[in-house]
Amino acid sequence: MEFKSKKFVDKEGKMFHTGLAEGTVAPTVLMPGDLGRSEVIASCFKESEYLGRRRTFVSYTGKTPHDVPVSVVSSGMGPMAVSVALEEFKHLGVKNVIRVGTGAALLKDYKPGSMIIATGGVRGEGTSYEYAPPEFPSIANYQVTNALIQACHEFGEEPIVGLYRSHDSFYRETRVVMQETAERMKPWVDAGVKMVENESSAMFIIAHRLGMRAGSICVSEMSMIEGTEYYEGPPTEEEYPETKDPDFMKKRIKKCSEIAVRAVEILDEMDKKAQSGR
Amino acid sequence: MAVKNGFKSGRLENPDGTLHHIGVNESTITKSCILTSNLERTKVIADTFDKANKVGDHREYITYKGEKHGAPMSVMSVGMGCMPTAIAVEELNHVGCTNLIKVGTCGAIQPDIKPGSIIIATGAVRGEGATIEYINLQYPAVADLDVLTALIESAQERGEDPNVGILRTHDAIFMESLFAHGGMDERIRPWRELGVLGIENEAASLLTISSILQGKAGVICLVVDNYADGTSMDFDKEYDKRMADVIEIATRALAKVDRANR
Repeated sequence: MEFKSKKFVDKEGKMFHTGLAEGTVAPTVLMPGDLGRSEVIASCFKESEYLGRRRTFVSYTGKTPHDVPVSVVSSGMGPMAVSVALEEFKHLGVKNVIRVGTGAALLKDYKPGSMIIATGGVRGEGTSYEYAPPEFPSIANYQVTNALIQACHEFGEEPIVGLYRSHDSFYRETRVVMQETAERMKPWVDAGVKMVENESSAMFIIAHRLGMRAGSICVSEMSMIEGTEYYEGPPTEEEYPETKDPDFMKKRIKKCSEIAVRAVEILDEMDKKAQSGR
Repeated sequence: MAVKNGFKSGRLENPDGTLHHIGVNESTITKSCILTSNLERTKVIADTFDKANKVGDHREYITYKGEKHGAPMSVMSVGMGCMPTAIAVEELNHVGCTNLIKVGTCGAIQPDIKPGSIIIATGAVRGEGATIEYINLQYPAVADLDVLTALIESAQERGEDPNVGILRTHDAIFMESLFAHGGMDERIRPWRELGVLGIENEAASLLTISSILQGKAGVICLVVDNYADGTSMDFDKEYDKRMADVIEIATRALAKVDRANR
């Protein structure tokens, strides 16, 4: 039996939480966590139409520069909102979801603004456990991941590729607000985890269960361990003067959005090539 | 000040300088190695190499070192289950052998994956005990992306259409196999519903520990049984040929990974 929830719609027949109607959303959806970033991502489309805003879901649909249909729907913070969005996407025929976000790097030689692409997620959140038991792996779809890597290379970016840790509580795992965060992070740093963010580990599990492909690309907005004894790299301000530009992170997020939109095209090309090969 | 990595184990050597359990060292192993559970299969794999010398025979670890597809390559057996696999990954890491592909067999649990087909793992369910001594279950057993991509490409180059997805690794064959105690169907049903493709014995420990030690590992399996309909492959007529196909795909992929990460 297909894994699918009951269809939950409002009086107008739109999906209850996201407010999206059938036939309005593209097969591939980009998902930022930040509501304001939907507009930034939509600005990288060749054409885009504003679909509306309900709760945390700010939605646009349109086409990539090479005419591949694409939509953007913000999730809001945390995996519960992601689970709601993906479940409703299933009823709208969505096949691929790509998170386009920000996070904190766990890298010992952190470079601000690095693009970090997920291969999988450490399940430090609660939502995914409602979908799969703890020993089940949270894995990014390799085709989406390879498309994101290729898109980075086309933009002259060398991405960092590896595991994310996704968590549920900002104020328990953020260096600037929680002194013992570095201690808490040490096993993940030692195990080679590249970044901490909020949504990916649940997104991968839920997408797998719903039969969708999912991947993530995030800009490292800060380091979780810089300034602690675990950090081995150079001080950020001395080594990376470009970060003093007040718009530095804004520019990196825009670049990340362009890369994600290009990855949608590459994924489409890969799918067409695979189909014609059969 | 550099902080000690909590996962860095001590190097445990024999008097002759080989690693304690695997019985090889830097001079008798290559950076890239095929792993297989079955001790007898090491010779079958080594016989496909362009050249190969037996370099180790300690406990369950039989090792040949040689060359295949233009890349220096070794093959080592790891015995059955997570414990000897975990030891092998640890000791191989100490001697710089960090590109690892496991060649094995598995039982499919999805009705449409028939005996004789091939599964390439994207990751594994951590249903074994060894990795839990390393890191809690939040951490995923994920195949290295380069190894996974090389395995898929190598299979496609040979005209194969492999099944690509998640394996379940377990610790007790006689609880989950065609010869299992009663109640097997109830045990495997949740995994089938979760989209797991098949069940085997070593993938989760290999992938998790290799990932923690920041190596590159992948897994390819020949499906010999289907636990959904109780069918098995014709071992007399089909097994050798299909295992040879799997070995060829694995060595091709490992040579690609070796060239890209030298």
